[in-house]
Amino acid sequence: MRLTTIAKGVGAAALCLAAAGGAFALRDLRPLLSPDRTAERQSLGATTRSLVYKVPDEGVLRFALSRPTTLVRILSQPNIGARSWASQSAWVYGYCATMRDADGGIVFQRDIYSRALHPSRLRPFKRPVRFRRGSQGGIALLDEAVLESDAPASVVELTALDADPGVVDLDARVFERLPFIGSTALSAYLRRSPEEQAQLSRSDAFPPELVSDAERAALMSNRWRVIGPVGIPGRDYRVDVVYERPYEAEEARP
Amino acid sequence: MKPASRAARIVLVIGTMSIVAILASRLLSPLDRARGFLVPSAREAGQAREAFAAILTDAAAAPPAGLRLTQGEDIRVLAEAAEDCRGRGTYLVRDSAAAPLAILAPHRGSDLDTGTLAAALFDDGIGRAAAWNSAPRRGKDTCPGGDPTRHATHHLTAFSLAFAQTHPQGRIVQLHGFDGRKRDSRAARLADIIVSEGSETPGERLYDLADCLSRSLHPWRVAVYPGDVRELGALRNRQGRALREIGFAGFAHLEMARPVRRALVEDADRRRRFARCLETGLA
Repeated sequence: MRLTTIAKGVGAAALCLAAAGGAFALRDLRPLLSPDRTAERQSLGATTRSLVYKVPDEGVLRFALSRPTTLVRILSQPNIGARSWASQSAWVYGYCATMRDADGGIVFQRDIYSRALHPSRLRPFKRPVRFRRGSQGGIALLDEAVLESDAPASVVELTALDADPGVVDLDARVFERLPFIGSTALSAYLRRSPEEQAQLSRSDAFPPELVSDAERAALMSNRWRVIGPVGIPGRDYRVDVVYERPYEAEEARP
Repeated sequence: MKPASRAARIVLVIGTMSIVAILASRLLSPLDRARGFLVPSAREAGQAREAFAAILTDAAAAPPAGLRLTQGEDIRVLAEAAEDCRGRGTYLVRDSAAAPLAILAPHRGSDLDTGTLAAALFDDGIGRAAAWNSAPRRGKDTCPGGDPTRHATHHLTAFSLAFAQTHPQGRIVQLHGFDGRKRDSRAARLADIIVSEGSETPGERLYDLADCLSRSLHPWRVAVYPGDVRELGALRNRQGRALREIGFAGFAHLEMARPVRRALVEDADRRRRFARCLETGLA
């Protein structure tokens, strides 16, 4: 048998195998190449969700701290009606914050009034855009209050006070300090994944691996943890979902 | 060699190649079928889809090939024969009026409590249909192993497509389970429920469902893929992909932590609130 005949036979066999492989690939891979007809949906792209709690006009919104502490952080934001949102740029509102010890005694109480701004007032300082799905109104910018009591408190209570007519209602979130001090703070930092460490140290001039141990401990020491209200949702408190979109994503919207 | 005989040889080789390729693709089964877990061909899947659509619209319709129909008072059950475990799945269809909701548990057994939860919800009167896997994810002596969510032509996909065809404004919910300790990101580790659509651009209906779950099941943490969490987005789920291809917007993929699954099975009140969210927005 001549060499060219053998070569032709081998070539034909190889071609047969390639064709058979192609047929299998076509059958098994075709579904992976099919179109996604929902790919054009971008209306809520790049959004994150967070929970907020309604501060009642009557009654109290009660939060239990995980351990007695003297420091509490409160973020509040008034929801504004559609007409007022279009015509005004700031709204005054208030709430009463009460901190109680484990026996129910008041260790701190104060009426806190704030002047919440329309987000457009702060441009060109770029802030994330916060909104509520299906709502015609708006959400004013967050206000922050850090309260310090003389004695450790176990419970924080919030009640809404008077507000401008454009304010529909008030949302709030309460935070407590994470109990990391000294070496426990450093240990907590080192237990995080590399991605989380990068996230924690994103405001630092150096990459995470070059941040000193003292800075790492400080990053964990200055952290707050959000806490939820006491009771049953719908009966003792109301939860709502607020969406947040980066300013750049908002600018890119048609 | 004369030009005519050379051309004849080339034609002969190409013809032989074509015949061999066609015979190979027709006669040789994919590896999944070689293991025993049944993955129907595209033609068989189309027939199964038509049969499921008939089942969902006609109380007297015949079941798809390989499934036996058992008629209950209000429920029809389609299941494999006990001695024929090939992983086609088990399907329940309610004959009385119900919200256009299908509750699927494709990994019953490996995702603990998801099958029990689907059955409990259906038993509570929730949804028009329910389904779960009939073979384990990993094979046993008595049953071949396989994952229905990885096959575009599986009976579960055919059922999902038939449900979407007969209930275009309905919702198909897949219940899954995850272990937060094995997740990469802190967001996933802290989440109790991760809601996704198998897409990077979920639609409004998925956010409706997620918002309802957040409000009704607080303080459980409900995260939406991809905005809140970048894991467990069901991007490889073949039912979700197939449903998106036909333009169905009601697919929801729920990953639940073990305590959540356990609580939903044991706590009827929480299960009722959970079910109300699954039915939100459905006529």
